[in-house]
Amino acid sequence: MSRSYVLHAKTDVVVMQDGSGVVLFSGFSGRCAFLQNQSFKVEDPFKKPTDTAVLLENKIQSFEIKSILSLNDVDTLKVEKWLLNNDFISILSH
Amino acid sequence: MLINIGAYCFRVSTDRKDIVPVIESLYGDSINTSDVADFSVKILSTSILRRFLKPQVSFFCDQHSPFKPLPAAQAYPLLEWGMNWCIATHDHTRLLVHAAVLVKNGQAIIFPAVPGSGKSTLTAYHALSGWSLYSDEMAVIDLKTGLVEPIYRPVCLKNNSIYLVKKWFPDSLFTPTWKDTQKGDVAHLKVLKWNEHRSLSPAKIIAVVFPKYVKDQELTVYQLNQLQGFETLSKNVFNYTTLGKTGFFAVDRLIRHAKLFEIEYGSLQDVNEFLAEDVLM
Repeated sequence: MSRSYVLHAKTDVVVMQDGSGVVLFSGFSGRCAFLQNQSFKVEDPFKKPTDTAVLLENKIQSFEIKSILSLNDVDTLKVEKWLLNNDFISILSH
Repeated sequence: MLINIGAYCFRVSTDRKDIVPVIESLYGDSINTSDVADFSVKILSTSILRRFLKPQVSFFCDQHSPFKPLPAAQAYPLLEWGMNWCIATHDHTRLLVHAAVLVKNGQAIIFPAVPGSGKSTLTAYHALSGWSLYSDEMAVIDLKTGLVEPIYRPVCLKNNSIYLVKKWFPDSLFTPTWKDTQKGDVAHLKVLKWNEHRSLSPAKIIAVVFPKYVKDQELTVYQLNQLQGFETLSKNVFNYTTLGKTGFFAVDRLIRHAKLFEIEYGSLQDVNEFLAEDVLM
């Protein structure tokens, strides 16, 4: 089942230009989350995630963890749960 | 006395006459009476009883003493550590990274490192071999421009590196060695004169290199991806949490525009060649 999320109002995201992952910053807690793109390879240093523009320009858009980080279903659930519990994101829809 | 270190000015006073010549040897050419002080610091003897029985000194920033007293023989290292503390805990207008900074041809390389990684030895060697020393301890980075500013401080050498650097550069100016401090034996090395320091300009950071000294190890270079660089660098920023979102985006900008490396090395000559051939543009 696909789940979509919105970033919290005080969460900022940067997508690494080399495609290595995503970093989230919570203005509530001052904490960062470093999320690695599982499909990132050193041989493809400039592979860009497709959702870059969405993330940077419009926080209301859904935050598709699985596709950005190339995760399998089990790991996607783990990451989503961690981000939810630590107030980086909220569930948008089920 | 007022000590000008470039980005900051310290008003220093002490009742320990033995450290005044040391202060004058390191900062004598930057001492002046006209600048406004950013920090007012003191090194003072503790109680009267302690002046006779195992004498101790305390560091004060204004009326606040952030550290426990130390043996009086460590008064000068305590002043240097106190000055670091003042900057790291009070300046929230810049990004402050626990790192050495070396510059050549206007290109800055910062070396964030944990204690024991050989950062200060590496810094001293390069600063006395044609590189400009911008800092041994703290990269002071302008949040608007992203440029790193030079600060006028000595290199703090510890333990065996004191012996090594004295052997390599016997004509350089060293302070006495203070034994058995919390960091082991400590001595300070003056690299630049004030007029040489004043000729330095803020520089663009072209690379972040995380060094690690491993005895007899051949130079091994790992290129870090941006995520690794972001995570490792942010852990070395003194005021990352305080700056919040501003610090987050400052680190992001830095890692986007810099080459990122981790190196293990046993020879400083190898590091010098690597920096000159593979890092500088």
